[in-house]
Amino acid sequence: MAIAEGVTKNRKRFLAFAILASLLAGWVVGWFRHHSDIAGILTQALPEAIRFDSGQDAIHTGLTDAQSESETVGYVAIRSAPGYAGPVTVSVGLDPNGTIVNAVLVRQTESPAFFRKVVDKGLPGRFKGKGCSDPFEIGVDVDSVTGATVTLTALTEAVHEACSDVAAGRLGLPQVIRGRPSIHFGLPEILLILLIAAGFAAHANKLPAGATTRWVVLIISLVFIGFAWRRPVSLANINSLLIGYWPGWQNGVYWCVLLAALLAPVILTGKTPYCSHICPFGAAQEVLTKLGGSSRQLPGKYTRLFKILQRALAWTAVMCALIFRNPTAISYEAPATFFTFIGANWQFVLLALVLIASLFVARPWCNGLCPIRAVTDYIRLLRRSFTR
Amino acid sequence: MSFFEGGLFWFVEGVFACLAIIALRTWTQDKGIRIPFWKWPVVIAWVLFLGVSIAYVGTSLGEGERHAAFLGAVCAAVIASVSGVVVWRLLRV
Repeated sequence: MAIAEGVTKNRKRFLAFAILASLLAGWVVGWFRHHSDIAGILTQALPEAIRFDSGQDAIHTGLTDAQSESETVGYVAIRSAPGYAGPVTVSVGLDPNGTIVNAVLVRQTESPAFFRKVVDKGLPGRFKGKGCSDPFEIGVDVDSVTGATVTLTALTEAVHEACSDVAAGRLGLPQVIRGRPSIHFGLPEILLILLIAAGFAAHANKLPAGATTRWVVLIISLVFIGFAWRRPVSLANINSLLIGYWPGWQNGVYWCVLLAALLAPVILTGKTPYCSHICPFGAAQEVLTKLGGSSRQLPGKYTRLFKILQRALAWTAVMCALIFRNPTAISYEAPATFFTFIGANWQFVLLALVLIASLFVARPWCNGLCPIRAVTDYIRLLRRSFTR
Repeated sequence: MSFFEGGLFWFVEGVFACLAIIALRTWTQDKGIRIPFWKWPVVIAWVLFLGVSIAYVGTSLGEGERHAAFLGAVCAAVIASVSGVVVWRLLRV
């Protein structure tokens, strides 16, 4: 019996390290893929140029022929700004007068449905014709895009930075001094911290009415984190963290707090109070289970099958995110579709199945498919392996 | 004029609606489920919602709006399932 337990433990430990090795390999492959190709982008941004002379300040001067004394037709700068799920990178070509000839998207890792909203508005091509001295203010000289504000802001900032750098570095114009980013700390952040505090206290049985508090926290979380702000934890956040795409803390207080609330307890204690006491989609499922009047768990014979499926899907999604350096390379999360009402047809079908199943089984998404659960399970496995 | 645009369609629709209500009443009596007066509007509202959902999907398909029809069908399926379970539990009270 003891020998059998030892073999299982060793097998789990081997599995934990094999997964870790595969993730590291994926990260390295992704890093090399990411740093291999930018050459063709320059020509797209400044089509008149035959060749480019690259400067130390990452500004490329476009020249008309292959000779060294050829005429300068413009400049290209490639710049990035943090978006929702990683940096948005654009290549901006300017003529010698400082007017944008073309702006080409180099790379972005936003959710496809959100980025499509920006593309549908004709961006980034619509920056064509703007001058270096233009304000680049959303709602003033750049049309706003409802539902994709963060992505649009990133795109605009990247183009503005490119223009500003070319203006100061090549055209002799005064550089626009960019203000320091303001700290985003408002009602969402305060309420999130309060919810986490109450949820953790209820989880640790530190409150006299723990069960009631848990329900109150779950309902508030469902209303605010879910429907009002539409910002629950998703696998894309964890992928962004692994890849190294991290917004400035001034803009990312909410994410820092939310991810810390999810990951810190599982790393330190092996527990996940976020899932049971705060998760807004968990709350939605529990409300439906209450309405259905059922308290059944996923049938035992299917539990193992769903666990394997849950972990295999999560591993695949994380590996693809690392290799393609895109946090949303594979996204199958029903909560995102539920709260944003944006997604592919199959995501709506999956969501419908999960919601209907919630009437009869407790938390089918959490127990059967949620990638966050798979990640926390893996952290727990690693934790056990390291602290044997 | 097609069959679905004529008065005959609505006459047949009405006949089926009456049959469905009579069938429901008979079935609940057989099962020993009492339906007081206030539960009838609830049941009728649910049946009407189902009918409107089917009409919405059919109309959208007829207009060539396949995506709208699909989203409508998915949303209606979820809402009808959830409200159906709630109505069913209500009937059993």
